[in-house]
Amino acid sequence: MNENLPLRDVRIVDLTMGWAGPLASRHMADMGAEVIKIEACSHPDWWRGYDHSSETLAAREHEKIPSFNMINRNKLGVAIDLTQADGRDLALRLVERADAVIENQATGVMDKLGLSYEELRAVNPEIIMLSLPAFGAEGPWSGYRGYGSTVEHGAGLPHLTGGPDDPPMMTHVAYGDACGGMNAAAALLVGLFHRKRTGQGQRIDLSQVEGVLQQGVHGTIAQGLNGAPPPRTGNRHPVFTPHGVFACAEPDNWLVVAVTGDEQWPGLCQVIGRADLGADPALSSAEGRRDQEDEIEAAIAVWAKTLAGDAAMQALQDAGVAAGVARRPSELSQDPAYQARGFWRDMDREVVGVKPQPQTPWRFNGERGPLRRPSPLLGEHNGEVLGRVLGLTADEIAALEGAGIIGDKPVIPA
Amino acid sequence: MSALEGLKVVEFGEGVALGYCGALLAACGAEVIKLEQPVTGDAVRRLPPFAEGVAAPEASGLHAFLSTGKSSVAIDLNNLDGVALARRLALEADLVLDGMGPGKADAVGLGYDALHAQAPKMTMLALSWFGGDGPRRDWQGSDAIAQALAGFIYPIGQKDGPPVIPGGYFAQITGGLTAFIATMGALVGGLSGDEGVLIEQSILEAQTTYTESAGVRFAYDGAASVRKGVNIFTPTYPQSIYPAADGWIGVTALTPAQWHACCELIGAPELFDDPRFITSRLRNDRADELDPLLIPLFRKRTALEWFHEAQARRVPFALVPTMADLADLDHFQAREVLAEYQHPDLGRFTAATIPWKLAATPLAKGGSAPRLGQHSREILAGRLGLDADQIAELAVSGTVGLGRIGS
Repeated sequence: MNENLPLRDVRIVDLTMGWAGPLASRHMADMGAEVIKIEACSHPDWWRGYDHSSETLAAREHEKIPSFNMINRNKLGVAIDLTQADGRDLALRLVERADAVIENQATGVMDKLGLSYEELRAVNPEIIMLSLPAFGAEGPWSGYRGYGSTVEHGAGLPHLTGGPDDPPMMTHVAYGDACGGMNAAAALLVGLFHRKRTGQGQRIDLSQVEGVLQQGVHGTIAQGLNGAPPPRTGNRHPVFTPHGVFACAEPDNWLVVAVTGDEQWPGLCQVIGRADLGADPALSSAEGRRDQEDEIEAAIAVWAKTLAGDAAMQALQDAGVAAGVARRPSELSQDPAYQARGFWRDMDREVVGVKPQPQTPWRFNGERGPLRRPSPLLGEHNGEVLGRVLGLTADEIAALEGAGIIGDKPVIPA
Repeated sequence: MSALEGLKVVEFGEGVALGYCGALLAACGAEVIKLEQPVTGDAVRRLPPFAEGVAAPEASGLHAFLSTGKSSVAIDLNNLDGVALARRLALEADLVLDGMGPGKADAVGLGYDALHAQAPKMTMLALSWFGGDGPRRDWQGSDAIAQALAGFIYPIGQKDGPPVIPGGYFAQITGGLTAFIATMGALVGGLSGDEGVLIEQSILEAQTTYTESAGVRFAYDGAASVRKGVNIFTPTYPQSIYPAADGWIGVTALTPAQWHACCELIGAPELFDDPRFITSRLRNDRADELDPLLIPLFRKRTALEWFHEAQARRVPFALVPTMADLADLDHFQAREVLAEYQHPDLGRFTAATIPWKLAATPLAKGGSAPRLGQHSREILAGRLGLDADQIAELAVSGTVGLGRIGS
């Protein structure tokens, strides 16, 4: 099924949970890698929810979480109790047959489980192991923990958003996770490329905070070049003028306008019915317009208030002016422009039925990454993985199940 | 050995996303030749941060960061002779990065189909704001526009609006990073014997990685996204930033155990038992009631004290360092988060370096960035075998730029 995909001969043992690590392994799986996601019945991925009761488990709520079902497609799922010797042994045997291991357990957990890099390398000298703790695996704060919000805080990026009188402003509650996951996928692929050329594996340490800091790299450049951070300009831009967010006719409907080049200015003036501004030679350059930015913004605001956001956006884009509505995230799967490019595709999954999946943001020779299988139910592929990959017999698998080493029913920790 | 040693890359077109993808390749050891228009260069050269007192087109620190480790060759791609040179360089490459915009490389004869016919192993990335097809193909983009359409800015800012645009180059860095992922995937496939691949990717769809879960969630529960206020996001709280005695402390307390430890730490154990705030969701809905109780408490101690003591209790607080603080914090120093960059006109400066720590194949830390056209002679002679007279002739006709010599 994955014979044409670029990572078709790559096998990854995936000990990640939440968003960051599973995004990285989804990218691998979408490009054809065989990703074996290891959970445990007593420690399911916390993105399946972390406040379960016997009632929620009976209702299979842990199989109904939209974000979990979005981020774990194309992966195989096994549930192995790694705290038992026989469970650890199964994991090591999978590692022996893998190219890479990726994990984002809390610091110290892998060591406690006896699955440190040294122990993995002992069974597979060519293994790549990538860890993505919040602050990195080395350094004074390496033991510190974090969610996506912590990662955003820790990189200092909130100082780069908002106006001069605003407090440091967070931009999204947990985008740090996704950023960390992208960096992890990128670094892992570099490791895989090197391994394929030379046979050499290695340890990869990725700090999520440092990954996110790249999204604000202009802040560090400004500080390094001039000894001062970039000015906080709110919704204005240091070069593009005008540049702002304008209220449209419907409540809470907003249009972003960004004049990214002087050639866009006459078109903007035409569309908003202010040809007089377009004819003013003083306003033909961004520098000139900056002196009258308040007046220009007021003129755009008057016009925007009369229109629906999408109509205003279309009118400006038709005139060659950069503009876009501030889409609600919840509206994305209805956006016709995404649909026209095939970004969303439906996929059937047990328990939840047909639901949309976002596609890979890239296409290879015109094709997005295929949807090969839905996100695994807890322990769904125990038999397949242990049988096909490790060569265990049905009896051996049944015995492991009887001993509670593997399973498919979540257990609420005592 | 660098991981990508020997990999030949040619980058043409413009923009931060394209440049960042190339910068990641260069930091991993690839030989990246950046083609720029003579005289004006990449549009990124006109984007801040700028060094004070340095003239265009060399004043942009952003451009220097993105060009570090690359060779700059100035070739006019509006000129048939220039295109012919670019084509010869591209045909020698393992990977071509095209940021000209949809259809433009094809129009000048540098598109994938034309190159692939002669170089079947060559992989090409076509990167653009909105993708190579669809109703927005020819729209004007910008970082703010991509963030807006991706649903990224809507939840940011005051409840009654307007949404707030994060500063800098958020969507473009994300677009370049995502393009790098796709590109590396194709290159790994190449080592398994695959032919070259045309990779098509939009910056908008890369930026959607942050918000796509909300699009999925809507199909499950039909709930519309909301904007609740500055530093308040659904569904949990506190997940925010408070003023400390000397700066800002990032506070995250989601689980009952974290909230309990947080209340103990700040000397308000009664808050944990307060039924108004008993769940994370209730705290989120009643942030207006909770914050007046928390703010005076957080003001009592320094951010560094809160940070270390909370982390000791396994509560994920964080310092919110300013850009100046980053250089002074021991953890970031120990990890060499900032590295030295240099450029003939900008001199030496520090910036956040590409952060992946691969033990066996470490990435370049910082490095040197070229002036516009600094490597034109070297590459035209070394790669294409042109002699000095031929190069001089191309320079006289304006087909190539040879860069400024001296200081």
